[in-house]
Amino acid sequence: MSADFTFCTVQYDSGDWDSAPLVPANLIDSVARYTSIRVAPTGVSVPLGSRDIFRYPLAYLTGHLPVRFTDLERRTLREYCDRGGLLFVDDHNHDVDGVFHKTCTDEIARAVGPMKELSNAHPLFNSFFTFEDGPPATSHELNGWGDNLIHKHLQAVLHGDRIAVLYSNKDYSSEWGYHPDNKRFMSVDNTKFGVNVVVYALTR
Amino acid sequence: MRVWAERALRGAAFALLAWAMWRVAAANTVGRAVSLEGATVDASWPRLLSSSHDAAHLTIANGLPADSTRDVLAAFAHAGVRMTWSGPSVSAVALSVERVREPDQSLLMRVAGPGRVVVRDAASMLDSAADASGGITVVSAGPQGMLRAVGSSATASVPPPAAMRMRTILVLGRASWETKFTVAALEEQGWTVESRVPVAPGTAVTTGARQPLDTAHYAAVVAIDSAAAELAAAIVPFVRSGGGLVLLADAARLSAFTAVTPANVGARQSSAKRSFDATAPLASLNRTPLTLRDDAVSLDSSGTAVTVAARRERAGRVAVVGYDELWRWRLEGGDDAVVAHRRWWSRTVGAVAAGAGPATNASEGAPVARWIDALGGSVARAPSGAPSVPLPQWLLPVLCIILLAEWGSRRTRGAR
Amino acid sequence: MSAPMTTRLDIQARVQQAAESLRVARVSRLLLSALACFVSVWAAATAIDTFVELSASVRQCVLPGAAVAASLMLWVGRAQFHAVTVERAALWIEERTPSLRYALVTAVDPRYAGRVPELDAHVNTHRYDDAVRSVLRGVLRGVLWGVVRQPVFVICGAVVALLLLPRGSVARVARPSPGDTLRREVPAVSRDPLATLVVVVEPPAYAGMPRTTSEDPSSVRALVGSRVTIRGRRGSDAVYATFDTTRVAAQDGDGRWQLTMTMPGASSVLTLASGAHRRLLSLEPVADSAPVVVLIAPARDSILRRPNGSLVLNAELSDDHGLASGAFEYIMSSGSGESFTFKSGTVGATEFPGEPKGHGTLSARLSIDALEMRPGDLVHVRAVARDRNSVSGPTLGVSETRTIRIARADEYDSVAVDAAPPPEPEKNALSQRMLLLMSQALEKKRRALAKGAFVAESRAIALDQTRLRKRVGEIVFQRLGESGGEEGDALDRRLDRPTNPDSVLAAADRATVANSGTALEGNADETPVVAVNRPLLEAYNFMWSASTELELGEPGRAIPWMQKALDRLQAARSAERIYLRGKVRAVVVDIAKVRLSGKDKGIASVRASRPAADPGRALRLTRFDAMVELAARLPSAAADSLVLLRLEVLAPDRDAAQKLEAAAAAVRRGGDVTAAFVAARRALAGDVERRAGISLWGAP
Repeated sequence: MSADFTFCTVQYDSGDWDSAPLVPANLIDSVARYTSIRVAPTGVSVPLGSRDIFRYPLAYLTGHLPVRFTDLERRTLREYCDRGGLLFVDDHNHDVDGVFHKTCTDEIARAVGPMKELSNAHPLFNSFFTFEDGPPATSHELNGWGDNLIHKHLQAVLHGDRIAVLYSNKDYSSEWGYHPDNKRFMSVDNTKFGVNVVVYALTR
Repeated sequence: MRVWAERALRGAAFALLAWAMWRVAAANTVGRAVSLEGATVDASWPRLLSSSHDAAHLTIANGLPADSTRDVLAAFAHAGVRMTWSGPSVSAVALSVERVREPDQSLLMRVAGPGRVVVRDAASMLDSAADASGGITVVSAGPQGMLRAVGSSATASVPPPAAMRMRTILVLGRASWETKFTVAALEEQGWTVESRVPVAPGTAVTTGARQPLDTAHYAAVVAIDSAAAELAAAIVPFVRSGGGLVLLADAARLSAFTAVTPANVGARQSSAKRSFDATAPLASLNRTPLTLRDDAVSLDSSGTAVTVAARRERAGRVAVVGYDELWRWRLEGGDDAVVAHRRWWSRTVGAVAAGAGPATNASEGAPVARWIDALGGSVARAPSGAPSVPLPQWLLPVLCIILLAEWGSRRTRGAR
Repeated sequence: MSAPMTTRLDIQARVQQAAESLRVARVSRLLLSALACFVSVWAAATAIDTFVELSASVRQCVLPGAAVAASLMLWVGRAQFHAVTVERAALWIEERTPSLRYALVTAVDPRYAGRVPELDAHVNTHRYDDAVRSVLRGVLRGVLWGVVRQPVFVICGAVVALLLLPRGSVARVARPSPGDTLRREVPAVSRDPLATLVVVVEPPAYAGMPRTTSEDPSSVRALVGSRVTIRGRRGSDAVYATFDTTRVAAQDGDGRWQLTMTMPGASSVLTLASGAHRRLLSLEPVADSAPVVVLIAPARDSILRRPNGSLVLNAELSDDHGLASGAFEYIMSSGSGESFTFKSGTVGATEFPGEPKGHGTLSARLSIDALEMRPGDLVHVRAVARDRNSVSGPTLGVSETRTIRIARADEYDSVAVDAAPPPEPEKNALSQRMLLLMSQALEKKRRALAKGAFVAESRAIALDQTRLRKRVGEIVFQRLGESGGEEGDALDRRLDRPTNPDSVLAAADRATVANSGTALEGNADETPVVAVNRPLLEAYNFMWSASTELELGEPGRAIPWMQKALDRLQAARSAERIYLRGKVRAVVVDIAKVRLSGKDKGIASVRASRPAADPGRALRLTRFDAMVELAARLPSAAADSLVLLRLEVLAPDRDAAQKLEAAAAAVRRGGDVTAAFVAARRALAGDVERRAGISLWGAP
């Protein structure tokens, strides 16, 4: 049975793109656990500057270090979003004053367009599970790490009413960064919002 | 005796001459013929009506006269005037116009005619072909006013048909990139799309409110994969009642569609190209070989392999697509890939969609056929002046023999 | 008292004087005629322009043309400047005084000087002097006036005409300039204040661009923040302009109205109204481009072995309207895992004062010592530049970013990390490509070369191939630690034969990071040591085969081996890059096991439809058709509608926008607009698609 969805992590030249190595497996596990989507058992890592990125219309980008795209990466990202791809970016620093946030938002604005706050009534929050209050808070936010803020909203670059770039300061990369086998020890699965992102990307 | 024989021969000669003269005179008492020229034929009606002509011949130089002229000539023929015509071989131009069954409802003009044909609208030339004898198809979104196909000796003209009401397309598929981007392509091209995408047992993402699956609500169903099995029982009657169906290979394998599919699908084959070639996007995709049924036609092929096939299922139409992961065309293709992918999907769905308006053919119908039906085929040459009197061909030789015999007999016996 | 004696010389002097006078008369006539030509051309053009508006280009040609005509006249009549001979002057006098009976001509003829006493006596007797003087007095006076009278009249007539014609028209011809349409007088009855517009655009000062003037434009393109002045002839009603929701009254003065505004940042329509008259003007802002910044040094990302020294930074900057400042920005990152600290700053800040400069350079040194970097730390460097845009704020241009990393001490234990630039495999790849090209070229020359020369060249390439192979071998075996005990000849012997990559790599893997390395993408069973070095070893073997074939004088058979070697070198570069950037640990999820095992259930949801990519196309065609109908009845309204439609299609379809602009201009000009309308409609409708044959399937 061939897969309808393969989780893709974006490699970029300037930073630690591989800072959350367990997130792909955890989200793959959740997609299989809750949906009938034919998901590949392992993820892939694809350089942002390569044409291979176009084989994966949903891509995940994270890191702690400065994000400085090359011209090729910037062009590829613009084209990727124009053609219908969705880039999900998570600030692994959870810090709006951090360099990842500052540099990444700057690069996204230059490559795709300025981001704006995503309404908590956006279909993303109802695409599979319902999140009435918008994006779920992470333990990193609740524990006061990083910028010591609980971010009420995600940000996004919209093409029409479709999300082209989804940007989070909530540090889901840390929140979801555990082996999926350990999910059985948790009373509430904190990766369900990730399922919404995948279902949204596949159906909208 | 010899003298009597000579007298008899002389008498026979006189009798034959008298008979011939009587015949000519008799012919003149029956009526007279008139010659008409194609260019001035309408001005000749008073002459034809006021005299007692019982035959007329029309010489055509440039194209057939108008329908009204043909009808008048046919009326004369029905009234007893023997009508004949001649001229260079008369050619016709055929023009058929219909609305493309896609949201922009462009006009599709099919043109055929010998030699050079120019297709025009009221404003200017749209296209031309040096030789349209094999037929050409011209599609344009914006022709204005009367459409005309102008050949060397004939012109066909058609008013544009009225716009149609486009019905909805129903897309059925799993949550996959193929389903997502198929729906996106059709919607971006202007189609109204309803979709049902199951994401978990009992849970689906839907677009639009589902209506009864009939041709009053839907133009076609696009079955992407096995998710169409749920509605297969309703889809087949929908097609037979006039609806359209596009099957991708995974859906065509469903047993419910075996009766209607235009082709049997084989096992998926990888593309010969190792990486996606933006200059040959369709050749870069994996394919499923299609084996056509007897009543199916190929709509698209790559080399000898059929990639899109179609057939009619009673009042409806079914197409099967042999390309796999067409969404990769949109994502990995060249600069125009997004637009090309949209157009491809729109055209494929339009090829089977229900609700097409009838084609409008040239207003003259088949002008040459109707001309010949009214006035018969052309004669070999134009008669000059009065019609010829039909004297038997044997008359002159017989007369000569009689006179020669009478003269020879007299001379041989010494008489002068 | 006897009359004074008149000598022959006196007579000659008199005639010489007459000759001079005649010359003056001829020259005067020529000069006055040229002047008359100049003034009459000017007056004629002014008169024509008063009734039929001449274009600026035609008017610009009038005075130069008049001057050329006058000059031509002078050139043709240049013979008039030559002196009149005494003989000709005497003949001229004789013609007018027949009583002299050619004695004067003879008297002034030098051939008879003193030779004919009778003639001198005759001259004295008949007092020729008096005769000549009287002739000259009477005749010359009449001649001079008769000669110059005609051009003088013409000049006077032309000057009077110029004085009587409207001053605006005279000035339009005398000093033609863009935007002087309004100088031309029109009858009061035909004064539509919006019929003729002149638009003056003054770009913002920082751009340093000249002022431009255009007459009767349908649209105004200008840099954002430009001062746009619109002028027209004053009519009976006041002129108002509506922009967005603001309504502004135009200022009146000197028979004109005038309106000034600032070019907005987004395309919009300016509606001008006066009484029953309306006119639209589309405003199309041109955005100021961001400076283009190219980082010259460092040329690529680098890894430094030790955190000391300094980085040389160089960048080139350029901008369309002038640079204001530039600098290098750096961000230093320290730490690992979840704990990072950052330090940022700028170096080499440079201002570009004075005249606007389109190009500039930046240079600086970034001290690694001052940054106090430690092993594993990173510094990202880029150049930035700001332009002089004082309207919407300076626009920022940035260069590519270079990442400089300080190597960790332990990273050399597993894989050699060469300080860039450039890494060794890249050099090898280039060299291998060069050798491949040389071999291909040699193979093409096989027929042309003698066998001996062919084999000699092949062996020369083989020698280079062998050298390159040994260089690759050194890299590989040094990395794998196999050269530790091998020096000189030992290594040469090791490198002098093909090797078995699997055995070598297995040994190296065991010896280095066995069982601790993570698998690379796509090669799940390989550790980084194997993944990085296997392609190099394979390249090494392919090179060995290639050099063997080249030694035998068979470059054709060597080429496939060389191509394979090149491919493997490229693969080695990729593997190295992947490894150095890190590796996501591959966790394989047992999909079948976890499928639908979650306790929570999702909900059905409704998806909103996407809008059509170009929903307005059919609507625009319908609107255009309505404009075609309108053009016959209300041309100005049709032109306004075309301007609006043009603005609408400007972003999605620039070609159609251009055609619509031409159509609007054609409507305003009047006359036959068919061609412009057909072109615009074709552009709006899209291309006509032609397919050969007629489909068997009916509709496509």
